[in-house]
Amino acid sequence: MSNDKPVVTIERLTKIFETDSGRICLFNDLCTEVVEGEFAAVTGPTGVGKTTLVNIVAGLEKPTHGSVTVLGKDVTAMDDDSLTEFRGQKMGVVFQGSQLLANLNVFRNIELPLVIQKADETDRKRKTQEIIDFFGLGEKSSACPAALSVGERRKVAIARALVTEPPLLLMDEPTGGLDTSAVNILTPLLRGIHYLHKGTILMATNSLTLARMASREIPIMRPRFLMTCRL
Amino acid sequence: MNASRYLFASFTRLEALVTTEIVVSTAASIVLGSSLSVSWFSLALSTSGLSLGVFLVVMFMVSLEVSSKRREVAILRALGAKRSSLLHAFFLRTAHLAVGGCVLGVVTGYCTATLTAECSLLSSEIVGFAVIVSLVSSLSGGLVAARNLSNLKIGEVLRQ
Repeated sequence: MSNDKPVVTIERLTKIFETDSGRICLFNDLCTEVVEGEFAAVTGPTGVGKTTLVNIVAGLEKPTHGSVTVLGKDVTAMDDDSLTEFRGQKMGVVFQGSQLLANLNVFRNIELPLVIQKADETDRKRKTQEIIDFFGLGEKSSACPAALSVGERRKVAIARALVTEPPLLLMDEPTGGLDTSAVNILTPLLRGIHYLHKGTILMATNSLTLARMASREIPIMRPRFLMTCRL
Repeated sequence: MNASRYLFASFTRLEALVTTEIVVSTAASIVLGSSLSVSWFSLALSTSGLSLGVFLVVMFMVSLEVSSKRREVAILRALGAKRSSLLHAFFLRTAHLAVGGCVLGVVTGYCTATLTAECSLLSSEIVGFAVIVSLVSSLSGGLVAARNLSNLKIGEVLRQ
């Protein structure tokens, strides 16, 4: 941790989902803070709301109660366009399942956030090539996602999230759904990213190995059922 | 950002149907407009029917197109693309189809009217009227459908 400047501040966060069997309350007034340079892991078993928490911090979902402040801006209160712009500039997000555009090759998938930000073309190509080289994806740069292994797709997703050099990197289960060999390749890479990125990382995971790599754990408690049956 | 190149890689069947509808409607308006046996009242009535048909077909097809590209749209939005740029991309795509459909419709309508003995009232006003009606109805249909993008829940789409 380089200093104590908060990057993510979560205050009294609650998310209530309506389901067929009743209402499920996630987080239950969660309060926490992630400071600059910190690598925090959101942990807990499947279904406790780790993905929901990452999505709320990224401004992709709205909480039922509470607020999330990222780099001084309350993402739960921002209007849609400002939030989209803010996310593009200040956050890199690695989604569960990679979420690459199928009709674009590796190079263009990674370049995409810079295109959206209207970065200068020369600068854009250089940054994309640099990150492709760092991730060892040089030989695959003209391949489409369908031709890649799951592990390679995950690498492309992480590279895409880092290409804009965002102050905050959000990762949702970066090793989820990968086989052991892919996890063994990706884990030291994630450690390297933390060392080189120098930004703040918030990662949702249920992998003990990844959680140990983080400087702090944010455990999420099991959800509460507010109503178990409906007559 | 030109979102069109990330959303529309090729010409789809839905787009082919939209174009065909615009071609048929434009050509039919020209043929009807230039026909001696059609009164102004029945011309206005049939043109309204044709333009309503174009509006509904374009709206339905573009709605399907928006639904089929929900994931791509959600990814682009999550990476920082503004809703306005994506709306613009869908609108621009509809405009391309509308203009292409109108051009083909004018050619088809002109050829049909020229070859039909009854259609001797063919004039630039009739062609212009048919083009304007087709363009307005298809573009408004596309715009109404593209507004579905506003309701897209990015987080939910990306989880699926």
